Amino acid sequence: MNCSQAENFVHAYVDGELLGEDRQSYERHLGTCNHCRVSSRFAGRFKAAVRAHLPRRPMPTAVEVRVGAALDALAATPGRRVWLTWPRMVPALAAVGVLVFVAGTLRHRRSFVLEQARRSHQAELPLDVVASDCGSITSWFRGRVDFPVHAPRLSEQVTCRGGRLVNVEDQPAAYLVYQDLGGHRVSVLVFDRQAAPIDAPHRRLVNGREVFYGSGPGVSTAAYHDRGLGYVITSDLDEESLTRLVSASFH
Amino acid sequence: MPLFKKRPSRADFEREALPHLPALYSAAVRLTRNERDAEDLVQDAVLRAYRFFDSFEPGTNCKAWLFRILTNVFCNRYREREREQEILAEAESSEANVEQFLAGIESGRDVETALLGRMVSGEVERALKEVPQDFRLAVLLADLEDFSYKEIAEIMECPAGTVMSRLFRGRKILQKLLYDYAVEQGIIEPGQAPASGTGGAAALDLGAYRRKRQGLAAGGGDDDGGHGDDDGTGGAG
Repeated sequence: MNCSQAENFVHAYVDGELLGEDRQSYERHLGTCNHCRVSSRFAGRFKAAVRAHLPRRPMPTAVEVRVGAALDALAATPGRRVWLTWPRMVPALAAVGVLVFVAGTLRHRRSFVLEQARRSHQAELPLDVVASDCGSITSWFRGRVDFPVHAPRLSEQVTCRGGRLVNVEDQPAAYLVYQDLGGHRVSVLVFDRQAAPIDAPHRRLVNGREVFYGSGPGVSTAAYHDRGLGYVITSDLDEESLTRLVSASFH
Repeated sequence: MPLFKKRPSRADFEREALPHLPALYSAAVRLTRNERDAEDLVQDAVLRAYRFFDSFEPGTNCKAWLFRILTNVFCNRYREREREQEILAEAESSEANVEQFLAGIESGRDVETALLGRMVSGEVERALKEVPQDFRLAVLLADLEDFSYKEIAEIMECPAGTVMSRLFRGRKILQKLLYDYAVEQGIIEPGQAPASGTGGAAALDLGAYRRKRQGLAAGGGDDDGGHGDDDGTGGAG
């Protein structure tokens, strides 16, 4: 081994990655060459010094709490991934095929996403981000969901309160919460339309767009598609008031 | 055989992954260079790990798997290409300083002790921040987290040779930054070290070396050429 070759192995040697005959050959060369011996010694001392001066940065307790809360939020959302393995995939796909066929024969079947939005609204789950300006809330979702979140402008009287990261199927989605002057809470679920279809027996055209309606005990939902995203607006307002919010959001 | 494979539970995830949270956070602070971004990065990485925990093979290195996810999230979000190119170009243009410094050590002057002995933690931390992203990541994973080259290659999704090259250059840049600091602080005099003929960041190729060595062995000898033993302590070679 000559100096040029030895120089290439300085770091591998210091890192304990130079083994067997390569290591023996390198060490033989160190025994005969002061230049490489100094270089190797310095590399080892430098690594040790850097390590000594860069101890692990202490993690604030708040980080652990925050991660735990985020995991809670993720685990609480329905529609998680089904754990399938390939050998089991064939019968599973066959079963899915049958279900798709049966579902295709039924008209105006209610999609689950309206139910999910209604349940989330009624559960009043804690918010991940609280702010009165919609911009701060939508910024918070940047990087957390796979699409740009824009908080629909529902009316002058309805203001943003906060947001929560949820899942629709296995896809991260944004759950926005508003409040109107009368104290009515309004929530908007924003998700990738590929994740879940929107469908419902009751539908209307609002400003030329198809809007799907659903209802549950004390709350109503209205859903629509816009630029590849699905929106479900939920509130305890009546259908006409809800429709006005939907209409305003189109602008 | 049941249709559905048993899904890993939240408890499984917490048992395997959460012990590595402090290591993830520490690396995240040094990657993002600020604590607020580090918290976001760690949270995003952990959530992604949880969502895809079914793809983790039990019994394999969970810490390396988590670091791979952390690195992916970081690279997708915090790439700072333009700034790094500037720093790298500047570092390369003055890399000779480090070579001079090493030559100074060899010449018997005690600059090694001066530099390493008087390193200040804050300055090392600051210097690390200046190392371009890919090189900084390699140094972090190797020097602070003790990952092997093979594991780093998997985490950074690149060949082991690239890991060695990035580590080599990352450490060189770090040395250069600390050398500059030492000169600035008067720990080392600017003209103290004589010029050296030692090479720069050469390509690392264990395979090529082994092939050459095998050729030499077949031809009847090892090549121990080079600088020779100038302090009289070594063998004949």
